[in-house]
Amino acid sequence: MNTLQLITVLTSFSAFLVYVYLIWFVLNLNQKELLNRLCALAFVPFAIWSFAFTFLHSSTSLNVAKLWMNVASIGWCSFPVFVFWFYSVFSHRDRLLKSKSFIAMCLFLVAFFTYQQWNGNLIVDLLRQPYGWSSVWAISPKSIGFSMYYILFVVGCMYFALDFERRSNSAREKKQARIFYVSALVSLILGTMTDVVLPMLEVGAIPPLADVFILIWAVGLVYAVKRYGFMGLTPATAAEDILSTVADSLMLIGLDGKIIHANRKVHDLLGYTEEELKGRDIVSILSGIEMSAIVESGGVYSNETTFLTKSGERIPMLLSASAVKDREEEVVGIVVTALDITRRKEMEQELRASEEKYRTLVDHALVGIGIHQDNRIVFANQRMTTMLGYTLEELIGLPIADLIHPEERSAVLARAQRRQQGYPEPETYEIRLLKKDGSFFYALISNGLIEYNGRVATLITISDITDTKARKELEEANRELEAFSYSVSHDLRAPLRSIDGFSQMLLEDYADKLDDKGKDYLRRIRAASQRMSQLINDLLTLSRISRADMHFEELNLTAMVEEITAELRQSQPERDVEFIIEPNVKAYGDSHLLRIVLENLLSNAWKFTSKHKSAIIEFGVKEHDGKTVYFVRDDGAGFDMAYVDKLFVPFQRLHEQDEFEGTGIGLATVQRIVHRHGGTVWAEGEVEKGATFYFTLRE
Amino acid sequence: MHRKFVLLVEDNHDDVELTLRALSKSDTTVEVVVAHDGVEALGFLYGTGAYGGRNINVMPAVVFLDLKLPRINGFEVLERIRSDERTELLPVVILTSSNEEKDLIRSYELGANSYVCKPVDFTEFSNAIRQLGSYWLFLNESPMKENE
Repeated sequence: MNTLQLITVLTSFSAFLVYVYLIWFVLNLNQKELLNRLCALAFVPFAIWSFAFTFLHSSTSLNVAKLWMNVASIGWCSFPVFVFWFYSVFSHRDRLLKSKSFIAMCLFLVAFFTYQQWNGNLIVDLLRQPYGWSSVWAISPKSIGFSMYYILFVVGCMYFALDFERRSNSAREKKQARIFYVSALVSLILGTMTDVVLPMLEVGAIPPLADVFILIWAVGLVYAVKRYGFMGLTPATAAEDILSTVADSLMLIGLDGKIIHANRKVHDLLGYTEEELKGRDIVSILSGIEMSAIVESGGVYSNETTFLTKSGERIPMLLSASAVKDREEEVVGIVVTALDITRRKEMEQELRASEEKYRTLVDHALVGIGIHQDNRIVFANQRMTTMLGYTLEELIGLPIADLIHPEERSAVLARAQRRQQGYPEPETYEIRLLKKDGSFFYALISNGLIEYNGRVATLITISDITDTKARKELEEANRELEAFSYSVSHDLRAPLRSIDGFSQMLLEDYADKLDDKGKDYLRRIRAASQRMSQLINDLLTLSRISRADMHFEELNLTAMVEEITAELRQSQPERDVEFIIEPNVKAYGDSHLLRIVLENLLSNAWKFTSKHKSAIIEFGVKEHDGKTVYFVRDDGAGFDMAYVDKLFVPFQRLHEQDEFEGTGIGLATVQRIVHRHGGTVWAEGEVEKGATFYFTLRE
Repeated sequence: MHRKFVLLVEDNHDDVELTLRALSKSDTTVEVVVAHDGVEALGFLYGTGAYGGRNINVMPAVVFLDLKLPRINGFEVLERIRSDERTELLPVVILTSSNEEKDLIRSYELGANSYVCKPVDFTEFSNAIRQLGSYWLFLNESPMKENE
């Protein structure tokens, strides 16, 4: 063997060794991954090829050479398929490999061309060269076919790689793909040159070195893999990628509690270098990691802790740790992520301080502050509990109905509900509140709608106004008024009775002693005393209106009107009066007082139509400026609009006593009642055409 | 057998006069004993004071009691009547000018049998008194049986 031959042989053998090493290397990285196996599989043909060429070039006889060439052909016939398989899986086009027919076809092609070679149809002859042997290719359909076969597959590989590069978003993957197709291209061109083109052109001076050139591709491949990592080929390096780019602090800790790896954020945060951290005990950085607990729990362990920096500073962190397992489900370590929560802690502190401030404010307020939701108390401050005589525990959850005086309960609850539904209701008003011991006190209550725990609730402030001077004076005035009314009902009536009684007795017993004039005088005395009695009754009614407690409820005014008109009809059945009553007229107010209003208005209408042969009296409701206006209309005597201001003045009448009897108190009473309901009353009329009385109530 | 009679407790002399006149106009004569205040009334019923020595087995068929009385008011008299076992069943009609609801309720709570508001109109007043007399003395059965 001459030097040239030796070089060729050694080159091929070295290539073979490199391929074997590469196969071992790739499989050592990860035996189980498909990609690794396919990569190894792709290298196998080249190993065979190089191995065979070693002995090819060192053989001296043609037959031995031919034999070795045939062995090598296993390699160069099968490599396109296996390399193609590798590339397709690498570029995520492994669908192809799932097709059995495709695999069958590939293997068939391999077998077919190998068989052809063994039959001597591809490389038909070998020529002795100084360096060894060179091949003589047949120029036949089969050899062209072979060329096309391997070019096709190799181009397919490069297309995959190119396309993968284009599609991939990862810079790393792009780099890999680039290396793949560039190295493949270079090897392909050079290899094709030396092993196919030149022999076809019958240039034998250059040895077939495809197997060596392909090393470029193989080494490039492995370099790319090693340098840029594969998912699956090297989990550790993939993790390295993730570790570096994650914004949170991330550390890998071994079972011994020592830091295996910490990402950049950890270094920056703690002020340690990579060397200082590697192998350091984790407990020196942070507290609160129970290695065994995390390992056993299997899930994610989360906690707040502090990191100790190199300079001794403590940083509050939110820690998340979980066990890392290898493919055998064995725990190999712990991965820890931590979030810097300094800002969050500061904000928590600020919030606590703010809450504290408001709590103090509310607790020390001089008024009772509370919140009710769904008609129950959900919050009360200190003063409210003392005002009402309950403990805080007793008060929370208590129905607010229990805190309101029974006479005012329904009205206040209805008002609260309407307020929460969005209707405008008075926000501040007086109320009698019930204490735990059953006594009640006058309070001024202020209401406002708020959101509490996501739903609508009412915020209330209560001030005890029992001691208010105005309240005292008012109570005093009320007491006097009651005494006065009582006095009126007894003391004023008795003398009236005497006047009336003795006048009558005179008329009866001394009728013969009296002339007509005398009798007339007595009759006038009687009439006057009866009139006075009526006035007293009306005055008493009027004063009672002011004193009475009002109970608000939904009322059917139509029903009331129908009852009153029935009574009127019954009192004078001979009268021809048509009543037009609007059905289903509803109102919200005090039943007793509104009845008095309707009685007054309707009996007025009845009275002032009595001079007409027939009459129409109407009751109804209409909308005016968005308000509900009730009215009573008659077509009777009416009144002159010039005197409309005098209508509601007590005792002021627009008619003489002989025309229409009355005390002049009725409309004053109506006005007082309507005002107590928060409404207004007014009238329109025309002499002898009738009158209409309108009134509104609080909406 | 003693005649049935009414004990009228009324301080107003005019009202007494009118009441007596009204009762005198009844179909059947009604006897009336008048006490001008509560003390006198109780004295009559239990045979004390000016009425010491009265045969207290003879009780009125009914008491017409005004509320507004000097010294002891009508309610107190009523309470006293009801608390004494000799008179606890004695029919009492409250006859008063007041139509205040609280007087009405209080009267019934204290055990009055009837409450009548004295009308101001004399005709009405006369009718009312006559009806009362007629009812309580002749129609109504008194539980106060005489013990001879």
